[in-house]
Amino acid sequence: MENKLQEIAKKLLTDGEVDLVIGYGADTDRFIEPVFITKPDEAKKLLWNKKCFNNLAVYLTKDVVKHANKVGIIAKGCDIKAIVGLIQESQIDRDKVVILGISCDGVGEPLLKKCNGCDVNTPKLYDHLIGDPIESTLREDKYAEVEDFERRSGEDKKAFWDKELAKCIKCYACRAACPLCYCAKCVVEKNIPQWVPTSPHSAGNFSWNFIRSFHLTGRCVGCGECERVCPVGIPLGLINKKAALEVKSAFEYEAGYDYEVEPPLTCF
Amino acid sequence: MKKTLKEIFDALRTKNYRVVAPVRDGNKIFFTEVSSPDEITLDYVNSEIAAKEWLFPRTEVVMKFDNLATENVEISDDIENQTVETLTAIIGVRPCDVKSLLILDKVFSWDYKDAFYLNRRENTVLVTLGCSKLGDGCFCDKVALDMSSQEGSDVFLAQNGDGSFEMSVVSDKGAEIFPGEKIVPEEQKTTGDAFDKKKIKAWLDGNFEDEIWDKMALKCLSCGACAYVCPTCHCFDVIDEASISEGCRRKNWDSCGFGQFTIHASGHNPRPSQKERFRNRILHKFKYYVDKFDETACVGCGRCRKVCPVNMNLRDIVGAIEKK
Repeated sequence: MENKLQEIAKKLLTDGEVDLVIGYGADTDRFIEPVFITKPDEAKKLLWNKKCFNNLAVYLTKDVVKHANKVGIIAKGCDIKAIVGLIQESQIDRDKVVILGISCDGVGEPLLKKCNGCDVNTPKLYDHLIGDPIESTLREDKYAEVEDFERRSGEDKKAFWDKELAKCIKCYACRAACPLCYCAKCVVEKNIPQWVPTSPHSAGNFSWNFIRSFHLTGRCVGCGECERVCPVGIPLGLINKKAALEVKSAFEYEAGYDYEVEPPLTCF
Repeated sequence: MKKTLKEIFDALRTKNYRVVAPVRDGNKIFFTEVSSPDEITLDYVNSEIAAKEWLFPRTEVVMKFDNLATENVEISDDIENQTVETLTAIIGVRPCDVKSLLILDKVFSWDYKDAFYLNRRENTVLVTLGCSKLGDGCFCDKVALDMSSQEGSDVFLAQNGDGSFEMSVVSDKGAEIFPGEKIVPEEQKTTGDAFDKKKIKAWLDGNFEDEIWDKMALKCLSCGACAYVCPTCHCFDVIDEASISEGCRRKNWDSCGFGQFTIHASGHNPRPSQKERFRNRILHKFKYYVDKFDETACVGCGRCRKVCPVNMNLRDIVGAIEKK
């Protein structure tokens, strides 16, 4: 698969079809770090393995990438859901992105939590498919975690979030790693006046983490990056999944599958 | 002196120290106040957040105001309350975090004396636990910090095979709690693998504009994770939080990685992109701090390596600069 990946990336760059390919490069022990390829000869740096965790779609809204004429991006099915979201929200043009979709049967050893509920092992949207199509065999219901949590008492839930959110240091890694948190000015940065308390105390931490989830309701594609990068280990995916489940029940809509569908909470 | 954790804990409690120590929470470790030695985990590499938090908390009130809706606004300067800060003992802190406090001491006392930090520092005893091997992410060897360095400690512990500790008393503060002979901290041994700090400094002095900064900036996601877990990062923001009648002024951790860190009231931002911001992080630790205090401001704890979502870390970046 790696060879095919390198071959396609090289050809895209050689033919001038793209100016830049965003992919996975050097092995860091923990994961394969993102790499930006602009020269055909460098395409051989591209890697693909079980340690390619990052959702590289986060880079598509960065200035440097936006200024490129056309970009190639290596993406797993879950990452492509975020690309779908970005197209839907007019953040990127479909014809300015060449998607090198990867057939993926899960990353991480043991598998990342999100991979157990994966239904896009073969991506739904791509320009080039790397690897043979894989039929999705759901290992578990992706909302099982929420349903389990829902069974707890109100008091218990409150105690759980009090403890988890007390850890938040307001580093905003969740926001930075999220491909759909692309606001040029985040609500917590609006400080004339300061709308949302930014201190890492209880009120600030509840405000921040739940406001982020509200802003992502009906948009979060469940790529799990926020939870992966949180340095203190807050289970942020649980908040976002709860919101996604509400949207699913109310509108029979799940984000990230089809960019031609209008998202229920952003069309009115 | 051979001591058990319980003996050390009890001695500190007898002297009215609250005890802060590494506590496991799932697969994470946090310095937490404990009421029993059974809560403590000393079989660990390093905490997620540096021990600095017990001296320089992520948020703290520095001033309060009341009666805002009247003509008699009352301002209470909270510094006096802070001066009676509880006596605190941090057990199991690693030599890198102890070294970081020596670095922070200089920043918080060279010009303006930061009473909040300095009062806590005065009332804190450091019971250091030496390391026996480099852990996941660690690179103290690269900054020439010995993993059994006693510099800055009040009491130093080395793990014995049987679960007990070989305890040495290093400072007067330590001797007040554990009467006995004080040892003189050993001279630092520089390892062969260490960065050539002079060479790095010289390069940084002359290469404010270099393509390396552009390349790095491309990958950086501009979060503050590296700064917030870093034991030597010390930038903070001052904000007011108020209702219609009362409020307070807070000192909160801040990070030079954020776009808002340098933005002016006019809207102008002298560090307009991630290139200038991340460059500042490197320069602050390996140039500006060196210019001012003649040492580097990185202790090799490796937390930046552990938390960065895209693997931007001081070891690799400074390593690349050293090769230039």
